[in-house]
Amino acid sequence: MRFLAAAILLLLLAASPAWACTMPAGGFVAGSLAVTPQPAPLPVNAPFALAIAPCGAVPQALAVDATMPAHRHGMNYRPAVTKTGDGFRADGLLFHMPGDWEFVFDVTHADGRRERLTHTVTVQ
Amino acid sequence: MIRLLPLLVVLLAAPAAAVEFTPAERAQIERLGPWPPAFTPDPGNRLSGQPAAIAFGAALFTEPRLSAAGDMSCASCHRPEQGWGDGRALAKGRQGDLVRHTPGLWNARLLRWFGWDGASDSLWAAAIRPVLSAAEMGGSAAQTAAVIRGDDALSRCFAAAAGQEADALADEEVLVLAAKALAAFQETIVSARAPFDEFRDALLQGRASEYPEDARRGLTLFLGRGNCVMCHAGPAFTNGEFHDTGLPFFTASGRPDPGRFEGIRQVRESPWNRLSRHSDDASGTSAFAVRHAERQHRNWGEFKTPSLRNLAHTAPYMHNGSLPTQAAVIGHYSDLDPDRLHSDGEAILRAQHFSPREAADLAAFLASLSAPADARGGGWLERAGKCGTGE
Repeated sequence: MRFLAAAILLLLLAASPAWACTMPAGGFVAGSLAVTPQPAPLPVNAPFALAIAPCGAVPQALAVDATMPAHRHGMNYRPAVTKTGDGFRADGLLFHMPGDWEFVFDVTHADGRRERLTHTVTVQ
Repeated sequence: MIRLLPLLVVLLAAPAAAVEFTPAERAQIERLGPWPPAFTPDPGNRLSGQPAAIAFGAALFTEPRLSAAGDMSCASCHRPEQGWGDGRALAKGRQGDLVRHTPGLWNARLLRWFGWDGASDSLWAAAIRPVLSAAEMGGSAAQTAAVIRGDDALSRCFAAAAGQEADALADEEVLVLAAKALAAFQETIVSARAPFDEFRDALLQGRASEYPEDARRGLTLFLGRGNCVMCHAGPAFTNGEFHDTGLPFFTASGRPDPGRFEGIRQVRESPWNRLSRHSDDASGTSAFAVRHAERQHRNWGEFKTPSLRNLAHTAPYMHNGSLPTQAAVIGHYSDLDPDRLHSDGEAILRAQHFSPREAADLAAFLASLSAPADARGGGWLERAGKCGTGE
């Protein structure tokens, strides 16, 4: 019985590590990802990067994008995502307007499972 | 009723209440300055900010021998006294009208993209384009190099600016360095402080200001319901990016102008872009825009947001020069045809239906973005100094 409880706990930890995310200074948490903009706070009309630290196991792949849902458009630039030692780095982002932007993180986990995480920020 | 009549007359005649700005509006106003911004050299141009290069660039700016027929210089279309444009709806090329309006050069150094379609990602690459364009100056690298090498004054100026003799370089290198000198000169074309700048600074410092009430109301519209600040943002009043503003897709000849869609292709393929060996930025940081620019279907018919600074000195307006006055521009956005906009494009613009008073208020605000001192135009080439003499 104890073994079963421990196994369930381990499974829960592995399956939903989001709760373990610590809010990064100047950044935000999107599901299982702790995201730190560089520079912070997020600028308007200037390029920025994101340092993305998974709170659990490092995913196999990650794609990053951002849109302004109210304006029905995305960025004019395509970010490039590279794997770092403990996570990912996305370069080449630029918010060309002030307002609400929704980050979209498409995560491919090591077991092939895919997950879309979003986080909305307001930039001025 | 008779007794109330004088009161009614007084009420109707009374001026509207003074405009007070909310904290959010004050924050928006703060972001529209300060002016002028500090100079930051272009890392891709080693001649940027160099006095010898500025003087050489000013000399080249008025040099007609860079054109195929020896009759056209940069200054033929970018006239200081015309707000660095030509005052025409469509630019004039070697064989008649071109398809777009000549863009002005005020504050060009603050931009990320150059040309209405952003086909260049630096001021120096943008300086090369018209020199080589068959429809514009029709010159070549060989011709530019020959003119510089064959003219004692210009070759001395080149050496002073570039630190190398033109004779020791390939034609293409001479062309690129000449363009970088032209860019160094154009970086000096910064508009003077406008009435809005005085108002902004006074507001933030809690000082009284003479800024007129109609301009204040216009500013409120600009920041609020008009949504103008969404694209005309920052101290230069432009986000430097591209939008479809509901103008016709077609040129005067009936052919479509693809705008930014084609501009992205051109800048990516340009041998002069910031990813090329001609950039002096070894870090590659300044190549961010061309490295990451993404071509999307909605880019079709998009054109660059122009700066609003010195608007009063740069008529006519829009990428095709189709609107002769600021009033016509305000009217365009007031009566915008939503059916003309891309169905899969941005959902930012909608007809504003400005009342006559609102249109007048907006015009008053826009007028406050122009520096009266710049209306005279001249003096820029002279202030750049005469190259080769140290003056």
